[in-house]
Amino acid sequence: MGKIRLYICNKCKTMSIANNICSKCLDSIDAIEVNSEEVEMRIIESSYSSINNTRFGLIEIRFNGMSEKIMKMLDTNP
Amino acid sequence: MSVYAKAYGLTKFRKNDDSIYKLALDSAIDLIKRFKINKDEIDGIIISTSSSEPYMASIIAEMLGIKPKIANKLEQMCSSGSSAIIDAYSYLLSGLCKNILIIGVDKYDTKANQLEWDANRGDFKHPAHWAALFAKAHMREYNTSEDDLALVTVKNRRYACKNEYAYFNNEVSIEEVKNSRLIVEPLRLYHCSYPCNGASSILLTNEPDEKPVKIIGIGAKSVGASIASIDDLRSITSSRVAAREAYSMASIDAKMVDIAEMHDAFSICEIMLYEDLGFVEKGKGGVFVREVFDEKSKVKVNTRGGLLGCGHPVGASGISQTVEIVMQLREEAGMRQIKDCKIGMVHNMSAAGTTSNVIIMEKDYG
Ligand SMILES: [Zn+2]
Repeated sequence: MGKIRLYICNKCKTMSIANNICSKCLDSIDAIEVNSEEVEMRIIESSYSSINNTRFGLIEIRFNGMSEKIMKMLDTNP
Repeated sequence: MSVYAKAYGLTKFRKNDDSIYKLALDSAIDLIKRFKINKDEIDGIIISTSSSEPYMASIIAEMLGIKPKIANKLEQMCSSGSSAIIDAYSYLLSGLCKNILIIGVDKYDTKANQLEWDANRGDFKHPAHWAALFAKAHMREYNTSEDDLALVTVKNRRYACKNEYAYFNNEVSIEEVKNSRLIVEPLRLYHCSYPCNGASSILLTNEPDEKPVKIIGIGAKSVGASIASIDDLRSITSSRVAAREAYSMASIDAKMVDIAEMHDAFSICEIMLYEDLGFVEKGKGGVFVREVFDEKSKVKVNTRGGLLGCGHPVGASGISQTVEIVMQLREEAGMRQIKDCKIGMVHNMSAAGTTSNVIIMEKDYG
């Protein structure tokens, strides 16, 4: 799945997909790119979208003990 | 001091080229004429809308010949309407205003139909995506069936046939719902509310009239904005919290509610809300829908036709829901009047239930 861009706070390890301000410390943080192989992914729930013509799911991504949720396209074979 | 509903105005929800100003004015003029309101007594105007038009509240006030103390516009996605009512409540209770006109209005092509701002949703910005995930989680955990979901639509479309202002005025069968076009599994077209034009207005006051309907409870909660702030797909946490607060303020519990407007943006929402608003325990919503459908439950739900039957003009829906409760409590709901209702509830929410508002109203006469 290639690379994933994440914002991770150096101080408190809060992780976010889009927020470049740590919601706990309120310090600005830089994005890092990690290989998707380094990230643990768990499908919370999945479905098929006729709007986007694809399977997709709500995924929990875990990296270095931090966690975040995203919606993501899934491979067609469940 | 207390806050009461004094008057309301409605427009037929439809899809046409009417400007947002025409829609807003139509509903406000209906309110003023229907209830013979003295415009000079209106000292606050709040526009609930997802429109980006600037300075709307003052423009509409000028067009209506009103010179209010407070003129504001409020945007909070699908829960804008109830948020505007909560704001007006505060202005009235503080004594800052005496009569506030709230106009909910939106067009079918509003930007609020897609959740573009949420990066966590990736390419899945259409609201049907979150609703489908809610439905799948609920169906797996609690054996909620496709028929249960379909029954919500069948019920709300049936009620909408008794509402001249609803977008849909034809009934649908369970089979028709189940055979309608797939949108996001398991949700089909008829499980989804329809974006349309619409406006509705309500006048709130701090002086009771001859048929006062009083706001006795308010609860509100925002747990975030993105899909990442949802901690459990089987429950609408912000709605649970808002309902608990509203019941506590009103000193009632769910068992005392006679009539409720629930934010059925998708059929699964209504089933989850039976549970999260405290009408049945978690997991029993799919069973309870049969009682609600047959009107055997004490609480009657979405008698206006819901968002599923009326259509969903974003900023107008919360106002229309509140107007329905006022009409029912004042026994002005015509063909769809429910007998002997004393306590009504409005539940209105935004964006996967990340924000919820609950308003409880009581018939304060007779
Ligand atoms: Zn931090």
